[in-house]
Amino acid sequence: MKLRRHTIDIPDELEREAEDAVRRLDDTRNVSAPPGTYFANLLVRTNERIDRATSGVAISLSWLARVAVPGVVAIIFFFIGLHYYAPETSRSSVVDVVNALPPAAFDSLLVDASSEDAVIVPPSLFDVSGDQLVEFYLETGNPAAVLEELPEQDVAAVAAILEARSINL
Amino acid sequence: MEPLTDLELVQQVRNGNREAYTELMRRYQKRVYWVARRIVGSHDDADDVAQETFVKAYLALGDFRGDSSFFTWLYRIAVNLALNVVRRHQMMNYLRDSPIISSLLPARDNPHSDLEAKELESRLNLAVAQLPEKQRAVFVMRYFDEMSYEEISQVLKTSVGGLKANYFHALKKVQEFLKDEAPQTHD
Repeated sequence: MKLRRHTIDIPDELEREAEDAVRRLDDTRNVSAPPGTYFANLLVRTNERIDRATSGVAISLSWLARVAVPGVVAIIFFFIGLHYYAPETSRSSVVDVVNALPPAAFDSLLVDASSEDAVIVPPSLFDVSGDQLVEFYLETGNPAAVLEELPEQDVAAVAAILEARSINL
Repeated sequence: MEPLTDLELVQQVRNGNREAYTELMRRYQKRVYWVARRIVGSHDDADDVAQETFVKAYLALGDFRGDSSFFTWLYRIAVNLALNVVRRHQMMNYLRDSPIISSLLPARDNPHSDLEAKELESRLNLAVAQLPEKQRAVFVMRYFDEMSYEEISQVLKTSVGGLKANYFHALKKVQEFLKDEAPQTHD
């Protein structure tokens, strides 16, 4: 609901009566007016004041007061705020995340439900020896690749064997 | 040759003619001085308000859109500055009630000092000085300057109904004050 300020409507006659009563008691004719030269002087002084207010120094000071100082204060407060601002980061662990999953999603993660034990894999798992690679290539039917993996002396030995066989043949 | 209108002079000032602004000041400085004097009560404060009014108006002339007359706009600045002085004096008065603060303030700023009371010079001015600021402004504009309620409404941005009520209350208070303070000449 909108509130309205109620003002009493004052009849004009009532206002005039009150005003006349005050005028009868008015003694402001006694108030001394400023001397005749005052207004000519006021004009000059006001013009001087305008000159000062529009001078470069005054404009710089007013710019400093209205823009530069509040600007610097705002920037300082911004950096202070930035320094102390610590956003809420969710540092929940992987265990928490997994525990928070619904049962169906949790089950889908398990490829083999019977082997739920976690196995710690040694870092050396992927360090494969040359022999193991040769075996792998021979088993997968890629003998050409075997030669690429063999060290120089083995290649020389293989070449010598093959040469001897070809002589015997 | 007909004298230029206020708006024409304002336009010339905007184009960099400083003489045009001097002409505007010449036209209105007396009215600005007197409205300030009647609101603040003393010559020194009125002098300061009058100067400040013209400086402020000059600096803000770019914001003058011409919705109201130049004089109404100027008058509004003068009344607001004068009321600021009144508020400052009231604040000083309030602070002076504290014995600790009053000992730190210079004595000559006391608005109730004998000097200032002497400056008011008339009982009517003393009565006006007792009015709340809004009623004081309305009273000065209506009673002394004989402005219409519509003009006052433009200056103070208040409804005519509210102004009428303010003026009537002010008249009643002033009347009461003058009756109470009337000199006893015959018994």
